[in-house]
Amino acid sequence: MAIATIPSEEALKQEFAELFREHFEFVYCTAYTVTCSRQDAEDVLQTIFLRLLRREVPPPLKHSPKAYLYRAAVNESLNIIRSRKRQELRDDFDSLEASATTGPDEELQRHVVDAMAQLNPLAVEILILRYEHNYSDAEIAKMLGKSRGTIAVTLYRTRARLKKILLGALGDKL
Amino acid sequence: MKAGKTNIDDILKRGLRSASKDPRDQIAGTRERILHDLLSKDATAAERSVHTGTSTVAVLPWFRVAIVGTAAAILLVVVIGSAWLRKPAFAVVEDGDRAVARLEPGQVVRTGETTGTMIRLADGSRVEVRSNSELTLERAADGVGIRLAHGGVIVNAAKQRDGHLYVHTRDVVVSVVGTVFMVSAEEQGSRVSVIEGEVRVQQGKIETKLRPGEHVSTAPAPEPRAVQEEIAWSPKAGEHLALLQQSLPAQLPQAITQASEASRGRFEEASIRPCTPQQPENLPAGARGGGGSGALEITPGRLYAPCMTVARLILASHRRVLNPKDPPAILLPLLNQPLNQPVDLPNSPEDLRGGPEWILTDRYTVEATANVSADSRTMRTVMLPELLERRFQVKVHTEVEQVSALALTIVDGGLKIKPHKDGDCLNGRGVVFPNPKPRCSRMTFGFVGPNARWELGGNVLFAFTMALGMAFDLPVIDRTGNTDRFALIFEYAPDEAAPGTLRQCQKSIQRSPDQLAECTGRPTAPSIHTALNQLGLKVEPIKAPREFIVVDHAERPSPN
Repeated sequence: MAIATIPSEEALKQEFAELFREHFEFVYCTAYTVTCSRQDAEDVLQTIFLRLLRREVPPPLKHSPKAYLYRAAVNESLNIIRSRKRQELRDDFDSLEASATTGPDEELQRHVVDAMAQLNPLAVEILILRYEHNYSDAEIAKMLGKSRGTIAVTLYRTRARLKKILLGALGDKL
Repeated sequence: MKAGKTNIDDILKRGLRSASKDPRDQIAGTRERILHDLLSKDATAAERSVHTGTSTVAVLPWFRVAIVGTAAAILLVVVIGSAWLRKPAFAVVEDGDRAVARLEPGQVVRTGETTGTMIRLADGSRVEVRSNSELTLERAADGVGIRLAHGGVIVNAAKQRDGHLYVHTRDVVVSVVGTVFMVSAEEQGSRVSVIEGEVRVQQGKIETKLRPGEHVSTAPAPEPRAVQEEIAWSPKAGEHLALLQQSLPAQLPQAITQASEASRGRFEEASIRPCTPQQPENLPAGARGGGGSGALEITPGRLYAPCMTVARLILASHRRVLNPKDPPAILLPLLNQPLNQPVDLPNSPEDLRGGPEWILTDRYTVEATANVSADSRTMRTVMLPELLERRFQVKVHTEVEQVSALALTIVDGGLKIKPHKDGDCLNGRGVVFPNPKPRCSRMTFGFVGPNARWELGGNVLFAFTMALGMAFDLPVIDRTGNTDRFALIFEYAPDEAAPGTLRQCQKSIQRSPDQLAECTGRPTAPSIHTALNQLGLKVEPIKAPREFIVVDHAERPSPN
């Protein structure tokens, strides 16, 4: 039996740091767009990357770390906004971002977050890829491993559903 | 803005917060701060090697893709120790009958290029790992899981008392309670073969039971390999084959039947039920089988056609590849397909001729199941025609006829547009329309005020003919002989000269203007012919060949 080469702890840290730096912005922007809160977005980052460090994730994700991280970011962000809604911590929502954008869109943004909490994760994944990351249908399909038709139909239905929810919540204010 | 005019794109642009415009140094600062926090939180988690006595097992974090080891060796390597053997292990690596290394859940095991290894689980199950394999052991809710990233394993699963042993690959989950089977995971898909007992293979929502001698593959074009070949790499191949021979006799007839059904391109089971006139023909979007253009639902191992006429089933089962002579009934996304690459092109009802009247009126729900390895194209283009022929006695042939069409040619003065060069189109993605310049590699259609507008972001004229076909409601054939790519904006009046565009304009007024701007008012752009001339192009009427599907014979279905 031959001797294995075990990577040094330093080398592993280095690799992790490279991975983190490579995907940070994509994951952070995703989490921020869903949660609408920088603090929550940072929490999402911490949660999913700590999982990687502790290897509490299945190995197949190494085939597409970006897709895995993106999906994890959306799911974790949805968990946060849903739990936020459940606990009715709406006050926190306002206070967390008090220093950030303020203006007529803030109420809309809050309702968009509430509406996203009602969508399934795939719909949110597609929505954020389209509107935050400006991906085309083909690029979304490739990243999520779905057909272009599925993406187009899901996006169409998601837009229709969001429109209905937002019109119901805000009516003429839109 | 009135509710009816609400544009959801605008709302979402305002309603979704974005961090992408944050200053770069702010993003970098946040990134480094979080990274520092992470590394200090889990300074030693990146590598969880087990050091016990004199034994060492290499444990790899998932993100470490390339581990350089001695090429011909298995990665786990160990000097024999004894201290850790006192405590029951989750699994151990065996060398002969000796346990030489302990494995814990989450550890990644990789074998070398030429050498495999043997793992014994706590319940007595043995896992033979082929060379060039990578797997992880894990606890499952009701047993033990093996995640096979790539390579192959032969699992001799001990009888599970009250749980299961699972093998996960990228696309299937195999569950057993006690049996011998082989799983291999490759880039193209996974294969599962059974030597003894019974295993369940879950692919998406489809579950297949396999018995000795049977195998399934999720690869698009599965290689027909016998179980004997699949296990030939094992040092214990002889033992496995003997076991297979013992298990085979009772199961063989069924195994042969199932394999032959798939190889003959037939569904294993099919149910055809007539629909009543009350059952809706066009199911609403979101309903089972509804909402899509074809309403034919194909999932792995299953085809479902809800209340469809035989005519629609015939059309659905005949697909062609895109070619310049096709009629313009084509979806816009296809326009960006690269040339010379076959793509599915849906048939339109006008493509079907002949046959008894009832094939256009009587509706049937068809439900058919196939071996999970049958891909959707095979089910649609091979198995569905076979089913139609067997149960409906459908006989069809194709005919080519000369039909009216238009030819796109260059005017005498020559082409007035220049081939696309850098900067002629806008890079990046976006859903905005109209754009000051076309989006690169895109072809977009819409209305700007009263005018129709095409934006071509570096497309060939062949793609442009597809667009013109939609505008003229006739096939348009590219006879320019030009293969350059062009970035251009093409605006014209949606009037009688462009009947297809005029119809779209009228439709856009009726429906919610989410995607198309209003198409009202007096057009300010020239007619389509003038606009084409301004580019140095013209269209002229010609006759062109078009393929039709002719139904020679059909009968109402035989009973299930």
